[in-house]
Amino acid sequence: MKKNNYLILFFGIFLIFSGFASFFIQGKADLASIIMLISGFLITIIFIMLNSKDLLSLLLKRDVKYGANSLLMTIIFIAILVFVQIIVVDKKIQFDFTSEKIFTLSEQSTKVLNNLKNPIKVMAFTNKATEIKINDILEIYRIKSKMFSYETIDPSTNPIKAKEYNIQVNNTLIFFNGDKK
Amino acid sequence: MGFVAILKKELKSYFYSPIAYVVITMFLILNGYFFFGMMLSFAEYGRMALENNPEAKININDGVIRQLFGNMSFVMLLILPVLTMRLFSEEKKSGTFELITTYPIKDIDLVIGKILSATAVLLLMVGLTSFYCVFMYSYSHPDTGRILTGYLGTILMGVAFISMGTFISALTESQIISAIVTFGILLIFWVLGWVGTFSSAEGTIAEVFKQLSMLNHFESFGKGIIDLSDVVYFISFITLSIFLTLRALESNKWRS
Repeated sequence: MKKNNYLILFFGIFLIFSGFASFFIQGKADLASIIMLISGFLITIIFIMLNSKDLLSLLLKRDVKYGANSLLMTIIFIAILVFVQIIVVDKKIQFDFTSEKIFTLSEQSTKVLNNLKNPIKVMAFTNKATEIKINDILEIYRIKSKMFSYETIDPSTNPIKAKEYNIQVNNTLIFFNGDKK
Repeated sequence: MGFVAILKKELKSYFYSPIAYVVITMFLILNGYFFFGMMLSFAEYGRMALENNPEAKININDGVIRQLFGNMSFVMLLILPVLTMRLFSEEKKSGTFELITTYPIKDIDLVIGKILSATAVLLLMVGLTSFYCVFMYSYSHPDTGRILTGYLGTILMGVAFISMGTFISALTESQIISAIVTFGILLIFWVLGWVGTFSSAEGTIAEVFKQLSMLNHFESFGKGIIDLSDVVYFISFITLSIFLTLRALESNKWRS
């Protein structure tokens, strides 16, 4: 078999992958991703059927065997690392080393956060200068409670949103309790 | 303890040649420039704030320390691939790689020795920036905890850069390819978190990209927080790179 023929196989596999990728990124199956998936599978299957003899002898080669072994080990290793990372991210363990403990919530605030019944959403209208500071503080609350979320908006780059909520001055916070404002 | 011999050999080739000195000097010049600029603008900002409000509390921690470590890690991103590009590529090019594989040294010792040698240069390089702290302490009241977490984050990130550079270096015999590929991969990992902000992707996918991004995991160190997930991320990155380097070295034995 000519070496160039393998390009067809790679093209098929590439189509399958891009079909899946577009499916996952968009979150829904549109026409393009379905066409890519089906044509990818067809090309791959037909290619394997036509060249099954050559492929079988290739699989029994020494370096393919070792390569597959190596690949498998790598995938297992990555899976373990991802698993550990997911657990650690979920636990949200933080140590505050600032001298004034500015990133640690008081007991009072923690209690309030733990007793939240409705989801609280904060919309912060800020400019670039104060955005980082406000983000820092809101982030502490977000980490502590699943009911709390926030969004920062710069009125100068997103004036439509600012108008929608009738924002006149910078550094305004709007709190949403459930749907109520 | 087989890695000690490799570590010594590599340190010699760093410090008997101009490489380490040039790299460290450029790193310090760039960082010194940034530090000078930040201090100057911070002083200006402080003076203005005091004029308007004599009671104003001006904080060097947000103004300088956070940016200092942010800038430092970006300069590392540019400079460390140059430090690691020669680790394996040079040996492959000059033909000493075959020699080294016949030594009674395990692959893991070889890799760890090489990574540690570059880490030693990194520590010296980052350690010399502690001069900045002398200036900060003599003119202001910086937060010691914040400085220490910042250094911890910077060093963790630097070792992560080095181990990825070592892996890429083990793949190719061209030093230029090694450096440019390392730089590209690290830059991609650096900005991966932006996917969440510039596309319509949201929810889980944006979160996954954020978790993969180095920048997102570096942020809290500059704030003075040690988040366990950040430490685990960098350690995972380092172990994965070492693991991949071992696989790449092993492949020389069976590849036809």
